[in-house]
Amino acid sequence: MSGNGDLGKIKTLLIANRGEIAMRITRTAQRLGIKVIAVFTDVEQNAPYVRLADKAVNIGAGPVAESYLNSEKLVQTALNYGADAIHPGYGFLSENDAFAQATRDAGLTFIGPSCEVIAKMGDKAQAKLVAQDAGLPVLEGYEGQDQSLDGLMHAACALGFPIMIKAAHGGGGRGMRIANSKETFAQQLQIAQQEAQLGFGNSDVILERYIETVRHVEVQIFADQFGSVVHLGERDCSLQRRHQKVIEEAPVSGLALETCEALHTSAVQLATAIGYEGAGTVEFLVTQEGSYYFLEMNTRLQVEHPVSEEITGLDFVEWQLSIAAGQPLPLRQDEIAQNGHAIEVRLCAEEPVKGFMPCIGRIEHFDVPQNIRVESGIRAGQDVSPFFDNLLAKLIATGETRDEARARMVHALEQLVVIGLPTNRAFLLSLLKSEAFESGAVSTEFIAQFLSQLPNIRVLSRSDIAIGAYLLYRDYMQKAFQKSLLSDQALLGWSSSGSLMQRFIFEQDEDDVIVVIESKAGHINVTVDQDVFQLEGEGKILRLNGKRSEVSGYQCGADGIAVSKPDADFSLCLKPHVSQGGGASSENSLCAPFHGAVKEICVNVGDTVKKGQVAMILEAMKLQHELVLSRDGRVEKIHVEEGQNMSMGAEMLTLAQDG
Amino acid sequence: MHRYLSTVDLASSIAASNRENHLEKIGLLREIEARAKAMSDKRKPVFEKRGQLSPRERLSALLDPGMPFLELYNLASYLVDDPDPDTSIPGANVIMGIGFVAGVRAMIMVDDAGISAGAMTEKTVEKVRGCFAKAERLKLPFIHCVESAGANLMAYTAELWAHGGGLFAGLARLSAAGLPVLTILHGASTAGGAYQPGLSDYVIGVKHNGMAMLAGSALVQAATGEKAQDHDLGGAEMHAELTGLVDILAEDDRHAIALARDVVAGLHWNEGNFRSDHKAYSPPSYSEEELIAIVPCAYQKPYDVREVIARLVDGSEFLEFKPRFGVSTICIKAYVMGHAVGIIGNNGPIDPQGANKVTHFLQTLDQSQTAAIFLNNTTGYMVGTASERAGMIKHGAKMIQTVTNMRVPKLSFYIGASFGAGNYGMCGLAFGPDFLFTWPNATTGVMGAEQAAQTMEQVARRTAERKGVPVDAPRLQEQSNKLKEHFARQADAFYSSGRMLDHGMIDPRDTRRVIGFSLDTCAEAKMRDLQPNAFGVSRP
Repeated sequence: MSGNGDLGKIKTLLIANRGEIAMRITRTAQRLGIKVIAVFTDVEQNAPYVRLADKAVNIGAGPVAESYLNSEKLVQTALNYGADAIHPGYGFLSENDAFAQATRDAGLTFIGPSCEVIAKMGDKAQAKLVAQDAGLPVLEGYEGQDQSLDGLMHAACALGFPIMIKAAHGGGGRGMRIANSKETFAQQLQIAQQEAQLGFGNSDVILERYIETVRHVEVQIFADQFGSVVHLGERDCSLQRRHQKVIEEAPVSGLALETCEALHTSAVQLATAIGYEGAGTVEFLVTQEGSYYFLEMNTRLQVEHPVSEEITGLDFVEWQLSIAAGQPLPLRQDEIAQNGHAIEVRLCAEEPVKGFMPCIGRIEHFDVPQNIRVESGIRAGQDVSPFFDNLLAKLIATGETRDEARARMVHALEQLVVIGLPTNRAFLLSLLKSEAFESGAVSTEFIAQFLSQLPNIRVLSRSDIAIGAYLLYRDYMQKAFQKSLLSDQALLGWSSSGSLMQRFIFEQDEDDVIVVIESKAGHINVTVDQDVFQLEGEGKILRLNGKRSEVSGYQCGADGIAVSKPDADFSLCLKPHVSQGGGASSENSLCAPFHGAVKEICVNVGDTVKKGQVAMILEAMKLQHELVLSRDGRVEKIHVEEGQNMSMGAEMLTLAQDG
Repeated sequence: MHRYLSTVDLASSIAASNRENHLEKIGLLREIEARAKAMSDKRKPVFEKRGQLSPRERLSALLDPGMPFLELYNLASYLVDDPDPDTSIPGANVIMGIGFVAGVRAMIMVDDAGISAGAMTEKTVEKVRGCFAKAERLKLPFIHCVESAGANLMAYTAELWAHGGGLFAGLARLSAAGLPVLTILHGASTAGGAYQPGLSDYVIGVKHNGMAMLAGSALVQAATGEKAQDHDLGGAEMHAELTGLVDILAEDDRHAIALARDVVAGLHWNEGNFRSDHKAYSPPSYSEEELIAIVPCAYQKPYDVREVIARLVDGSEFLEFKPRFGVSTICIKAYVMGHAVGIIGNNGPIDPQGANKVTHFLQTLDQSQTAAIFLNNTTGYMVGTASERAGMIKHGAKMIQTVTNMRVPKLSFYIGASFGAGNYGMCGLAFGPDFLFTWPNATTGVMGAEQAAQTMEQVARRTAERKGVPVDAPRLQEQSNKLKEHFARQADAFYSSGRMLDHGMIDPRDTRRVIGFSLDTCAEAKMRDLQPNAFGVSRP
């Protein structure tokens, strides 16, 4: 289906979102002849979605409370610029019934279900009861009104540990914590409540029995205003870190057909029962034995919707707009076919080996592979700011079979180049290449297990150091040549005294690595420690000791080089000529590991503290991070206040020398 | 222009033996050079302990990665201080050459503080003065990494002191000529050495190690009785705060060199100057490796110098000037790495026709501002009745006049023999070549050892004949042997290069690159306008 005739009601659409999803919605809307108004903040002036939109409006400063969570401002902007509908995307206000109400009160179309449904499904406690009423199996838990520590603790003890604490109005993994024991419950509860308050404006939580080694399977449904409901198959979203999905696929593999059908039926059943409208996702936990439990319902488009689009061949955004415009469902259930297999990975700016710590910085290079679907909201030269989610792009590979899709994704990830800040690219690649993933034996525990089994992936091989040093040497040589008036490149690397030497000192995890590069008789030898490597080659195709070795991209600067190889991304940082004053985390001090705001100070001056104790909670990119002490001691000084914004490396706390 | 077709049989036993002989001599060159490095590196632990870089580490940190470096006077002092060929250390305790710093082509001088604490040897003053002259002529900023014990009092000579003033005057001249002079004070710089920073336009001093004073604590105590500390007398910190002799204080050697590179970058030296239009060219059709198979090490053995030229010039293509006139003297127009050149080579002695031919050729080069390259392999101007009667003297004189006074870049290479006035006509040391390099097989001098011995024998026989006394054959033989040995020793390339009768010794296979680099340096100098001033830059 196509053509604007069906969508007469929607002529101008305001997208109350940003990044890749704003791009995604804009593309479909524009294809359907709808004008798009984008909103952006001071830190996103030149983001691709801003450029793509027909009109872009600055809605203020970076912090989301002032922009993407400011319901009034968004609705007013829509009115001011003549929009007749608002698409909320995912996250932010997409599941906020008050926002939906405000939109509709202003006479605009909200792309989503009714406010009552959003409210009902957004409250996890209530949703669970509704699902139970609709005949869906649910997990044992606590969904009570008593939100006191005592009350919750009592409920938790009754259910038993480990236990899952979830923000009652949450989603996307935020405000979700596991307490393994009674002792850690209070602390985890507090974090969950704070994240819930910050992320969703309500600190209420529910408790749920925690079941290990389960799969997270969800069913995509669509419903129109005339009571028709269809499902568009299921997705496996078991691969998660920090309770956030990183790899999703459709259809689910290795699950009995009956189970799948039961999930589909349950999802449609729930949607019908609540009078759903638009795109929605019903999430389930599925145990190894094949029993399943209703988890929650997301009343919006999911991040991972493209995998279902790929296997159904449909455009979900188009369906959303069509339904919102009052059209009936474009297809009947028996007209919806599923073909092949699709896998999506979420490329995030983060360091997997450092607990998936989010990273910020400037994207220097961003080369996406061809022949694969990429949903991205970034471009080279753009800054990844601490105000937003660290999702950079989604890659979606499709094939006749799961293996084919997996092979395509592996190839694509090997070609993908992101330089400027750390990403989970190589980690995703190793996941996809693992035997366990290949066999399809995935669960929500998979990543944690996988990480614990990975060999020490932080240790950079000497040959990689040699490659980085060679590329840097070549780059510096070219830069020097460009600055000079030497007329002939044929003289590069030559000295009348037989050889030219260059020494680089790199700082690698606080150790100095000395690399000597010798140019002699037309050959370049790179010595790392005692190992000598002969390197040659132009551009990205190199030969290391005569063997072909390819890099997918690299970026050189005055301070070192970032290299992207198919199997690894790494940086070599030149040792500064003068030691930088302060900053470095020493035994005696606790320094901010990244930019963020001090959420809580958990210790007081004079306290006797233990190694591993949580001293501070730092909040960055909407996630809270516990900063733990590296030794026993006594707190001598606290340099920060709650709420204070920290730069990376700034000292936050000092332990007494003697204590 | 046509491509030269080589006729040398590279598979012959002669070629193989030529190659073997050359490789042995090149090996000797590298071995002698390596001696200085090995000697200096012995002190590496001391440098490390003081938190310093070794002199060669300083050099490599200063130079732009991978940019070419032309070392000058690499054998200076060899066989001079120490006459033993097996132990003599070359270099005169200082590493000098033309290299690039932050994209700026500069004359670099690094005191080799690893050898006798960088004290000056007999040849140091001459080497530095030679490089000053080159820097001035080729408009190269001067960068000096200083750490030198100064003059060695045990080896004091009045001449060294008197000529040593040239180290002061040279810096003053460069500064006045509009050429920035930069000193990095890595270590002690005492007495005369203290004026090195004093006479520099920019001084970067390294904390703790950098020191400059007229007299160290020992001399101060001897002179005035004052018990002083070296650090108070001339520490870099003191100079940065009190005297202003140090402009920028550095934490350590690495930092100092990084600062020096920043200072050089800040000269915006290349702004407003442009890379010369580089003509596309093909490399020679014949490998430079073949040079050492073609040229015999013994100069007495003939070969065609065109075979050498074919391995030096672009595409092995050239245009020969007057090929049928003065046939033993070769004049050729060609290109080397895109630079137009005129090459003069010898296939034997220079006869009157040859001298006339070269004179004509050089004057055309001067007229068209084309660089001249002299490939020396001549036993001299032709002697004998026919030659004299043909006016050898005046034709040779004309050639020498032209060589001396021509205004284009002159590059000279001793690739074989270079004897007598032939050396003068072929732009020997005294004729102001911009660059003069020696191959390890070269033989130079007023005449060959054999010829000198025979000449003296003839003189002795004639004297005996005139006096009517019999010839004392054994005595004559002894005298002749002595003379031969005397000549041969001094004619050897390693000996003459140690005495700085050239600008350095090179691997013959590097000749094309040396020409390319040298001509590029001359071309850049020609293009560059300096802003001279009357007295140089003064410090506060």
